Amino acid sequence: MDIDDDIPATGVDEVSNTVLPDIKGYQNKFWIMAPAGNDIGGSIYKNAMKFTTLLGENSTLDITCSDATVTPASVKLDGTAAAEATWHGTASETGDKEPGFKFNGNAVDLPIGVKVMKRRTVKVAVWLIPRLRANGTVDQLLYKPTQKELDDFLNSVYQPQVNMAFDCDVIETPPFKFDIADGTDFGAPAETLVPENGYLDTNNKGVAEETTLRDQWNDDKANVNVYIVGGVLGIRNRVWIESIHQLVSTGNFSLGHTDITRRSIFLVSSIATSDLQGLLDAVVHEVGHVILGPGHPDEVVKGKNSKGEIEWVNGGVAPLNGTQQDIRLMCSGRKRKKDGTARLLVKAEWDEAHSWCLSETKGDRMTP
Amino acid sequence: MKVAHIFEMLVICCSLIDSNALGNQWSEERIGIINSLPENPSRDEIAMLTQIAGVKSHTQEGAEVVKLAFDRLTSIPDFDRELAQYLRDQRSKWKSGGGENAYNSCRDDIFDSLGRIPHPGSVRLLGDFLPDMEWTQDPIQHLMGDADYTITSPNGLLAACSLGELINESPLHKKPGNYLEQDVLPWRDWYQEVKTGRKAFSFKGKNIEYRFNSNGTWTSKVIGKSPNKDSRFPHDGVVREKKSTVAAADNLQANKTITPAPWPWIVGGVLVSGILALLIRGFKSK
Repeated sequence: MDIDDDIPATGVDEVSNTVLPDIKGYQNKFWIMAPAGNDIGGSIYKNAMKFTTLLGENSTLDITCSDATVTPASVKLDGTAAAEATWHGTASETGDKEPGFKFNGNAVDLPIGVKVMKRRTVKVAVWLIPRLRANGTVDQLLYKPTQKELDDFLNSVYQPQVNMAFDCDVIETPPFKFDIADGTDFGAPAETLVPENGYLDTNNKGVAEETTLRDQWNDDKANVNVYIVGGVLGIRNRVWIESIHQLVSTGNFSLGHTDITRRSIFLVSSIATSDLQGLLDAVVHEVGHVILGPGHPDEVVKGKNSKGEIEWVNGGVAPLNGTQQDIRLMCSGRKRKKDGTARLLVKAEWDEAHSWCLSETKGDRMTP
Repeated sequence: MKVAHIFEMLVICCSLIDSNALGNQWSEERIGIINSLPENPSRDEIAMLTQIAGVKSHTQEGAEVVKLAFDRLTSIPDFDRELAQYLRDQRSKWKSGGGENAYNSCRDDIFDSLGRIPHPGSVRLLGDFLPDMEWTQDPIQHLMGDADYTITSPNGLLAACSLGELINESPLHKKPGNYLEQDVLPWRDWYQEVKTGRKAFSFKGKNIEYRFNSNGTWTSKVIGKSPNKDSRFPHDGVVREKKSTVAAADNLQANKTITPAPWPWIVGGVLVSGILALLIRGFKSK
C-alpha cells in the first residue's frame, strides 16, 4: 500500500517516514492533513490524495476516522492505477487522529495518520517603502506585489498544507529615509559605518535600520509585518568585534531577513531581486520563519544541543537529512528553487504551525 | 425631539454597534477565562494572565480586558516570583530535550508582555533575569552562517529591552529595539541601585514613584504630574490608535480598500425609515 499527494505539497507527508528514526523530523507513519472549515470561496474545504496498491484487482479499502470524513469511505483499488480520496476535518480543534482500515473486509494496521487542522486566518501588513536619500532623490521598489498576488501565493502554499488562509493589507508609504545607521547602532564608533551605504544594515537581533523601519511603520494587530524596501542592494548582518576594532559584515548579503521575535520580515525589491516571483517566493519563505522558527533543513550541522550534547542542529524542526531538500519551503536561499515550486511542509512543520497559532491566539491577533 | 437630535442619536447608535462588533469574541472569551480563574492560579495560568495583561489593545473593550487581567495578575501575591519559576521550568523542559521554538516563543511572550505591565513586580522579575545571558543558539555560528533570520536574545537582553520600554529615566539614551548585549550592563547597575532601595523608579506615563525595601516589598508616593505621558499603557484607559488609520491620515495609497461593515448603516437606515414614517403619520394625524 502506498499513498501520495494528488498535487505535490498539498497536504500529504510521504517524506518524514523515509528517514532513520534518529533523524530529527522522523515520523513512523504517512500523514494526511484533513482541513476543517470552509475554503476561501466558502465551500467545505477538502484535501485530495491517492491510494495505490499492487495487491490484486478489485480490492476495497474501507476507512473510518474520528473527527474527519473521507470520501469515498470505501476506496476501490484495481491493483494498478491510483484511487483518489478526499479528507475533511469535522473537529473544532486541531488534533492527530488514527484512522481505521479494512482491506477487503479484514481489519489491517496501516501506518497512516490523519491530522485534523482547524482553519486559521493570518493577518499580514505589507509595507512598500521607497528609499529616500539624503539628497532628496527617491529609489522606488523595482517590483511591487499586489494584495491579490500576495494572498494568492501565500494561500497556495499554506492553505493546502496547514489550513492557513492569509489576509494581506498592502500599504504604500511615502519615501522614507531608513538607510541611516552608523557604527553606534552596533556598539561601534560612528565612523565605522557610512550611514547611506546602499544596504539595509542589521544584525542577528534585528537592530539598526530594521528598528528604524519598524518604529515608523507597524500594525500591532497583524500577525506579521512585512517591510519591502526599494533602493538597497541587500540586507547586511554586521557585528562589532572589539578585539580587532572592526565592524565586520558577516557572510553575504541577503534579500530577505526575518526578526522572529517581533514577527517582522524585511525584503529588498531592487536590481538584486530576480523578478516578482522571486520576491513572492522570499515572502512565503520568510513568513515560514515567523511560523516555524529558525533553521533551514539543508543547513543542518553537527553542533551542541541544549544539553551540551553533539547532535544535528540549525536544520529547523525537520531537517530530514538525506531527503530532497530543495523542494522544501524552508530550504535555504542558496539551494531553494525560486520558481515557486519549493513549498513542501512536512508533519513536524504542521505541528509547529499549530503551536504558533496557539501562541498567537493568546494575544488578540488571532481568533482562538 | 428635533430631527437633528434624532440623527445625532442614530450616528451614536451606529458607532456603538460598529465598535461592539470588533473583537467581541476575543474579549468575551478572555473575560470568561479571567473570571473563572481559581483563587490561587497555577503558574501556567499566571503566564496566560501576563500575556493578556501585556496585550497592546486597540479598542476600548480590549483595554478593559487588559485592565481586568492587570488587576487580577497584580492581586496575586508575588506573581513575579511564580512567573520567574515558570520561566525556569520552561528552560528546564528545553534543557531536557523539549522544543527550542516552544521555549523561545514562551520567553519572548512573557518578557514582551512585562514591558507593558507597569508594576514593581515586573521590575523585580526583569531585574533578576538581567544576569541570564544564555543563548539557545550559538550567535557567532549564526552570524557567520548567512542566516536570514534573527535568533532569540538571551533572557538578560530581553529583560533589559522590557525595562527600557517601562522605566522613566533609562540609564541608556537608546531605543530598546536597538539594545545589544553590552546594553544590559547599565541596566544591571541600575537594578542594583533599585533593588537595594538606594534608587527610586517610576514608569513611563505614570506619576507614582516606587522604592524597594530591603525585604523585597516596596513603598510608593505620588510625584505630581505624570512625566512623559505614554499612551502605550491601556491601564490608563487610553486607546491606542491603529496605524492603518494613521497611514490613511498621511494620505497613503492603500492597495487594499478596507470597507467598514455595512450593517450598522442598514440598521440605521431602517431606524431612520421607521422614525420618518412615525413622524409623517404624526403629521398626517394632526
